[in-house]
Amino acid sequence: MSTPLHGQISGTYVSDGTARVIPLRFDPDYFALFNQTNFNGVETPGETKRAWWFRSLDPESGFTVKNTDGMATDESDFVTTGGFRLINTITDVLEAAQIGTSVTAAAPAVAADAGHTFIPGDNVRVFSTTGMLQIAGMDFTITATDPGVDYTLGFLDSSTFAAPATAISARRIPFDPRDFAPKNRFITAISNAVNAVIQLSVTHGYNVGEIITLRCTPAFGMSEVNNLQGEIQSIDTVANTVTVDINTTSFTAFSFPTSAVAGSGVTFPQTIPVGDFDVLSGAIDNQAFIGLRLGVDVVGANNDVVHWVATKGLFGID
Amino acid sequence: MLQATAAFINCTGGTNSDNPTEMTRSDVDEVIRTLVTNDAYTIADNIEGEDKFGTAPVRDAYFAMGSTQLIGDLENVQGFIAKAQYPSPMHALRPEWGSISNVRFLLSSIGSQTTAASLNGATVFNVFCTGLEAFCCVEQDGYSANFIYRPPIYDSPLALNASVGYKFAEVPRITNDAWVINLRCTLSV
Repeated sequence: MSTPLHGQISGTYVSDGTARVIPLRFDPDYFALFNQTNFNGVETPGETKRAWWFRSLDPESGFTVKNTDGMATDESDFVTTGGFRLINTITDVLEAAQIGTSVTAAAPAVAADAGHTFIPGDNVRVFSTTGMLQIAGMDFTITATDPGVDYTLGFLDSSTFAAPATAISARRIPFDPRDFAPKNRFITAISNAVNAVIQLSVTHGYNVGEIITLRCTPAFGMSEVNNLQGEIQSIDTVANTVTVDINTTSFTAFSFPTSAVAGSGVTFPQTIPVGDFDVLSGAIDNQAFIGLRLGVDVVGANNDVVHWVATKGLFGID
Repeated sequence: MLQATAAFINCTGGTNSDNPTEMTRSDVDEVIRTLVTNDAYTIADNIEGEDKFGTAPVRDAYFAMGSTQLIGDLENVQGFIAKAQYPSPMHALRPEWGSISNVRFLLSSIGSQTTAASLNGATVFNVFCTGLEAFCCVEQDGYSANFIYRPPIYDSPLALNASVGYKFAEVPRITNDAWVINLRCTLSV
């Protein structure tokens, strides 16, 4: 890895309509994208045709040009949300806490937070979940959001919890925690089955054929799986589960402790990777990166072809 | 690497109303019990007692690597023996702070921490308690790292700009995940 004083990288992607991260070989000073599919668009609401970012902009900002609603004419729009964010997994720290008012006891759990800025795919660390201390200190992937209203912790079934939380604090983790892979993960559910199905709180990144060891204390019910090792038979990326060759049919049912028990101190159940990725890429795959996250206001609609260029040069602020 | 991939145990024996709590003797005992049950070998030999006032024998021990922020809380743990109380201090390592039962603590200012990871949003300190050969660092291609500097005269047409780069050909890996445990704790205050 080297850091050039001057450099340019360009590329193309096909958008899926959701925010995406573009890893780069350097921290850029300028970024531009051009939406080929929508360049002549007349959509309502107007779609971004072109967008630019400069290092001096605040996170999530960007200069955009969109078509006027339903018309072929263009209009300029400087966005302050849904724009560009620079990411450096080496130096970035957790963002400031966003304070919510509740978390439902439901499947999946939904946290209410007026004015939140999370988007689907964000990983957050939650704490101070009053009344639902079972999850305080865990990381979760957000699977859906109602902007400015609530966000969904899609990989948590809290329907069996005694009560909803009456508060929540969440800090966005600007990167999938830690740079080494495969990673340990928090467990949110384990089924009783011939081949146990394990749900994890954060997008797990595991592959079929990899081996994991389970850790589970009696506080979470299924302590029989503690230290058991299993091979991943299949994965479900929608439910964020892995199926392992561990027979849990006769084991105690997995369940979160009460909030009071959790508040007195528990160790969260977890999966521990054993060995490397099945193609031994973990040892040589440095997952740290520098890049740019493109928010929903600039990334393009589903199936849009987008061309981009990132440059680095001498940069100064007067 | 250890923070990303090692199994962890939360300290639960403390009284700071957080999860994990501050470190206590019961938490250290749990780690030792787990490592011994998993047949992990201790790294350091015991230090036999001598007839020196104020000293105490030190058991054969696993090593625990943590943050210097734990100074204070460590010394409040029952059974803590400071390095100065070792019968023969020459057996202690420079970053060593002391021992508790079968664990000897090595502290660093860049010890691992996880921001806002406790029940109350406090910083969680990761103390990696490790037995013999629990993890290793593999140097590939015959070297570990290479720092490359090219002065301006060699790097640019007008000798205006230099360049630097680095290559790493080493990787840390856990060799036996049953022999290393991340003991997570917060501070007492």
